[in-house]
Amino acid sequence: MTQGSSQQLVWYRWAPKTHSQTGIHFEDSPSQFTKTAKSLDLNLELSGARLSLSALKRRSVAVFGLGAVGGEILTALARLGVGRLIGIDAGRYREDSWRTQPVFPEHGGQAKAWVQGLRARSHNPAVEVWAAIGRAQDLPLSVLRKVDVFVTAGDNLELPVWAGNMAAALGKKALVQGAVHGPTWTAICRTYNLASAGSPCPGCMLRAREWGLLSVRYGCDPAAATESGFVKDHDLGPTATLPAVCTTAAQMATIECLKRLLNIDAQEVQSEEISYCLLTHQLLRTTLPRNPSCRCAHERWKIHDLTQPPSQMTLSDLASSINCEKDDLQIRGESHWVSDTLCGHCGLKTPVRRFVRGFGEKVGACGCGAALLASPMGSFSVMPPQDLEVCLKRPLSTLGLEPGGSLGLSAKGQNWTYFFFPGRPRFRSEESERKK
Amino acid sequence: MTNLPKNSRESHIQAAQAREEAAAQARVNRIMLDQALQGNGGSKPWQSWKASQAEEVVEDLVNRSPRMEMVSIQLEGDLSLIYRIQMPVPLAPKGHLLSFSGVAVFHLTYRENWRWENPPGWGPLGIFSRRPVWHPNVSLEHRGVICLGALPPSTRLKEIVLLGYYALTLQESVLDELDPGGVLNFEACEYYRSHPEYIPLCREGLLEPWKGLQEVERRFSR
Repeated sequence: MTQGSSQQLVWYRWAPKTHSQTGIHFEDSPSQFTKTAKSLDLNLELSGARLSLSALKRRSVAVFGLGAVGGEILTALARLGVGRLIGIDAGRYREDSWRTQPVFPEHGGQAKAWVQGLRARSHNPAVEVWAAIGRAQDLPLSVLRKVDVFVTAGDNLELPVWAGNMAAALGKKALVQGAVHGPTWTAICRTYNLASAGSPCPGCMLRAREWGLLSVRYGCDPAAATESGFVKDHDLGPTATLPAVCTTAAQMATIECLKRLLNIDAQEVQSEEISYCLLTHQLLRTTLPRNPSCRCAHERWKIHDLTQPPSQMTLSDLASSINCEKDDLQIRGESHWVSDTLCGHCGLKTPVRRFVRGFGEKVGACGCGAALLASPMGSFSVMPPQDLEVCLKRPLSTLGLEPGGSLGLSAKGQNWTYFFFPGRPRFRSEESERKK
Repeated sequence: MTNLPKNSRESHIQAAQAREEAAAQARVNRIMLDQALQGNGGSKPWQSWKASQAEEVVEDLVNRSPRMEMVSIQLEGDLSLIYRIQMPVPLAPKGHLLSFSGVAVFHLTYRENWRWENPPGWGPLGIFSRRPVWHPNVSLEHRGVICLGALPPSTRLKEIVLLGYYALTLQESVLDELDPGGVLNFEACEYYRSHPEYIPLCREGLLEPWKGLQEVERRFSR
């Protein structure tokens, strides 16, 4: 297991164990087909077609939120043998979490991501598990784009709305949402196909009042940003839903995931909500409508993989590759663009003109000798035109872009095109571990 | 008009001049807005949101407030407004007495994703100042950042402008360090708790005239 941290996330990675290490393998080669493995060769007889789950080893699923529903989904997907699983949750278990969540009492105080990552991995050592402590919104785009299915199982509305936007932008065919309604013992599974702009997204379901209920998780220190917040886990109180209802929702979501991973189109539910009440055994299927006045972007990005690192490219190169004139060009990255910053000591404004990983990062020194910090004042999501003019010919590495990162370009009014640089996003601790 | 007493005639003339000036300023604001709209970028819904919000700020606040002035409007990428308000701005105290500046220059930005995600309370609004602003909700380290507390997605810009004004004049304030909804400067928080006479710094609304800095200094020097 390796551990690392990017700016906002702490990562744990369990590499897949090989056949010789586990006694389990999913190779098709008859010579490697041991008795142990044969007994574990999972096959489904479905509608007359014989579907091998071994195809799952090449698929990847990201589960956002690892509570009573998400934790169960992660484990169930590991059991099925999904090749790469990514789980993310910012929370920690409480002393009494074992009553409703899939953990033991001794896990109180531990990070959900760590416990559920380990649990999934223990169920099936042949799968690769990545678990991250933090917000799903901070996952690098290069990680998200390689995922086949997004699953959300969080306790706030913000998460599925964000996941819907990302799924639409990255052209994901499937977003599955597992949820519960505790008082009525109802397990809910919503599925969205966001491959086309006309499809509904989770935001389409929200009315004006519900938009106001999106939970805020930002604290008031820009440097700490999302580490502290208005809503904390201990403020939310314990999960009040029966574990059986959560498990039912998790299994429903797992099945919908499985259908999409195996491309079982005939049975695939398209943009629907399935709610099953365990109290009355009533099952409802509701088609989810597209809201024409939805606030979300419903925008599909074009994706380009680059072969050259940021140090060998300029904005001008990228703009010409999409035939975009300088005057129409818009640029945005995965993090904040800091145009300038005010010195905390003397108040002098100094140009910075680069992307930063987070607020509070040192971006130079002021003439008065004080360190300059990246600050929300003077930061933008889209590069302002006055900076574009200056930065057009500069190597992208000088603008704060790193291998494994990405950059979005758009002509005014057009959809965004995202360029992905070769390499992996940097995880500091992993590098230091390798050096050791 | 000719039959009116001299004082009354003068006040009529002054009022007419003020109306003319306001109309001229409104025309300037309109031109500034139209120029910004020509460069309006992004997706169609985002362009339309930016246009409507900027227009609302200009029409409902800038054109109606006797002491608010628009400095710049940019709509190319993020929405970016810089505006100036004549108001008391508290600066670091000299001894026990606060000092003031009479003008606040605000920078308001709004990003596309904040239409469907909560903007951080400290995200949209900041204040430019050469001297540090002495206020519980204004960061010293991150110069000029103002925390407005919890903001829902698609918060109207007009509300952000008003929130910023009322926060800075301490007509609306958070003085509890344990409340994560606003305090960025703990020392200032403690200062105002022990000097409640400064709360609020002025009582006028944004659309009302303000008596000026001298009046504030006279009030607090007693």
